[in-house]
Amino acid sequence: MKIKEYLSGKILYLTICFTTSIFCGVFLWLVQADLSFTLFLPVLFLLGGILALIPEYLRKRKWYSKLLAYKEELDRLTLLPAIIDRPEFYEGAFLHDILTDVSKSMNDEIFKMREELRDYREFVELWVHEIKTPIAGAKLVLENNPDTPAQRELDRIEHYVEQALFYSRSASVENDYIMRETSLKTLVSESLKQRARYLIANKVKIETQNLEPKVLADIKWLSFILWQLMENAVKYGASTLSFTGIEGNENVLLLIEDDACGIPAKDIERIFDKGFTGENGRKIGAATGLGLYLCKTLCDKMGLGLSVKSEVGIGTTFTLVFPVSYIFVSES
Amino acid sequence: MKYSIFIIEDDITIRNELSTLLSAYKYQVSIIENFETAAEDVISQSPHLVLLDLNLPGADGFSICREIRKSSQVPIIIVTSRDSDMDELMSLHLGADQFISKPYNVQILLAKINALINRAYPAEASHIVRYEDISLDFSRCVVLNKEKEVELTKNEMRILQLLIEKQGHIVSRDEIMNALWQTDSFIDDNTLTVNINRLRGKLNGVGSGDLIKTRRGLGYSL
Repeated sequence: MKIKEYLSGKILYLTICFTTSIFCGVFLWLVQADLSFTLFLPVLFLLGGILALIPEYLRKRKWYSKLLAYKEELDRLTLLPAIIDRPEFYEGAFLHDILTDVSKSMNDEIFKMREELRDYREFVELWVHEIKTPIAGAKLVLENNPDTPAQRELDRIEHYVEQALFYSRSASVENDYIMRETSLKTLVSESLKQRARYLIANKVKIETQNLEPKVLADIKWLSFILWQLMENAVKYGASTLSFTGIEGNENVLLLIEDDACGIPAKDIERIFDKGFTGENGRKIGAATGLGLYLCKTLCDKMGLGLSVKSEVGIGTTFTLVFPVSYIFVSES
Repeated sequence: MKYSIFIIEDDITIRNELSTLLSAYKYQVSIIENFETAAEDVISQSPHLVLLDLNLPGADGFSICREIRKSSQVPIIIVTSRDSDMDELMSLHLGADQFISKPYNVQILLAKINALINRAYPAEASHIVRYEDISLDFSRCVVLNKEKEVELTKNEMRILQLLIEKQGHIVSRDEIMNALWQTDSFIDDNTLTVNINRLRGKLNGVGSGDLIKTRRGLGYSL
């Protein structure tokens, strides 16, 4: 709080001080008091009025600047009243009490929402696990009665169920993944095997190149991410999917390349945004805008990079970046 | 000989369909419905392999697994909808041989059953499958007809095996491709045609040229 700011709140007080001093001077002059009295008394009067402000100003300035400093430092502002001392001056104490009540009610609200979110997450996880049993049952029924397209529809249902699970996980602060050493080959071929029927039915040609490099990843999460990328490619008309590993000094890259319709330049910046469907999504009409957002979120959590390059009419390349961990460095 | 498999699973659809499926693959299947005595049943009847669910009403898959392991070395595959690493770790610690989470890929389940049985009962395991005049020798990757034999590639072997397993049924091209993909061979339509033609050529060489019949628009059958 600057002096000017403080004084601007005291204009009325100062005006009254000044006026009464003038009156005092005029009065003394009228009663023909001694000239030194007539001049000295009003000045003293005025000075007293102004000096009285100084301790109050200092007290307030101390508290307000502390408040300001805490406010800058805190990442959760609702905790502010709990940290700052209750000031001695009346307005400050009054405001402090009100702020405390406000923040308490806010914190209660946040706590309640957290609880609800956690319950909801637990429900989704439980539900996903429950629904996997009937899906497994239906898959077996179809295995015994083969050659219906229902098989691959079930695979898609399974994928959407998993999407719900991963979405609820991505929103949580807990990181329930385990990074293990694996090879690009394992990651790619496990997800290809799981989704074989869908890819075969859509006549997708698979090419793989240099998938020997080892990486650190959570296999289940990666399988979900790869499938999401593959499903998108197929949905937008890919007939060939190629997987290429590139080993660098600091990281291992996995390129997932398709020959689908490509992503317009104006959309490419935003394809990892939540809820963004873009021109292609609107054309196909079956886009939720969640798939790539989830891929990005899961990659961020695992510390992997995910980027995209695309050219309309030619295809799209997604690049997964696995940092080479110190484990491998120390081994070699 | 037929290998026997016990299914300990509470979901009726799953256990019935698993039973149908495994019977079709020439296993002898028994379903256990009383989970409290499941471990004792396994020990007293000693099947060749056990498929065990973790969430069971009135019993816990982990404790059944532990009970069985106290007195039997029968291969156990845990089949469950729980998919956390903790559950997998627990299962393996308690002596289960494999852990598969639902909804599993049926071909992978079959492959794991097959692999476990072959490893657990090597003396009884047969590396030879017969169909009419020909026999497939998996250990040497060859097909024999009387005195003549010819070497097959992994893909050709797998195609012929699948057709023999499903004899009497038409096997679609997609189904054959799916089976090959499960062995890490991600072939496309054209490659399959090439594989089938080569296989026919080789079978022709041992005198069984017309073994594989094309069903136009549907697939192949023996």
